[in-house]
Amino acid sequence: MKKVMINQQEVVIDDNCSLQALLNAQGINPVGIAVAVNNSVIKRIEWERTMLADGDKVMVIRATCGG
Amino acid sequence: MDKERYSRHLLLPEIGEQGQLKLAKSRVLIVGVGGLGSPIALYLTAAGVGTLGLIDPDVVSLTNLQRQVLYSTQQIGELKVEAARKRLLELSPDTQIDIYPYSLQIENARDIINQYDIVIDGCDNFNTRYLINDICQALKIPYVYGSIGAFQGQVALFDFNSDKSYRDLFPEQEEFQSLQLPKGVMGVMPGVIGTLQAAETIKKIVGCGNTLTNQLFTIDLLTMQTMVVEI
Repeated sequence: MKKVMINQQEVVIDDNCSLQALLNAQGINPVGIAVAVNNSVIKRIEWERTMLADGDKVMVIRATCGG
Repeated sequence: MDKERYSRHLLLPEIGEQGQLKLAKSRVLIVGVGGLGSPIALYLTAAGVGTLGLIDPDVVSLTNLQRQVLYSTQQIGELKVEAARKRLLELSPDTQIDIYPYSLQIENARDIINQYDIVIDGCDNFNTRYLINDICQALKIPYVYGSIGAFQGQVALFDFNSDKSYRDLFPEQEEFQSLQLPKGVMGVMPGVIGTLQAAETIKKIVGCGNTLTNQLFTIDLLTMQTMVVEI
């Protein structure tokens, strides 16, 4: 088991947990979001193969479109 | 150059006379002169940008005035680009204001954008952002992204010296187009983000400091949490 932070809340995950699996488990709607791990945005096509490590900080950033 | 008008810039070693001359020679396009475009246009005119292009098809409405500080109650019903030009020429005679009273479209985007050195995003929809991004990327013209919603705002700068672009942040999705985002926004929100976009633009033109190149800045005015992430 590993601990990661998602939007500043601690979550316990399995050892082999991808970013995509974490988002699914947290029930996060993937439409209109960007996701950063340790302050770097992870491209959507890489969510599935990005494996999370103990202590990773995940930030979900919602798109805004107003001007 | 009017040394008195720009004296507070000239006093800064990071800007100085060289930087002020670069601003005077620069050509900047603002896509959308609403909430974001208002402070961007005001500050860049005040800063002595040589040519400012304004593109927006809308007229001033009463609901705009809670945040679109370029306009006055008397101007309701006027084309925004015309009302804006009046105000900006009052502010300074040094900036030439080019106006385009229609939307940026796939048919006109390349011809318009190609006339400028840098493009600032003050628009209010995803499709126009993809369009600005794609044309700027093709022409290698720097793109200063900004957007707002409720109490949140975002700023980034893409100079296209790498392959990074707005599409890396928010890839185009069909569901995206139908995403219903609430229209509510705190009145100062575009002031905060638009001013930061203007600051990034000035730094980029002058060549001082570290810009948000391929980085996303976010701020939440409810919590005052800010963040910068690498794109």
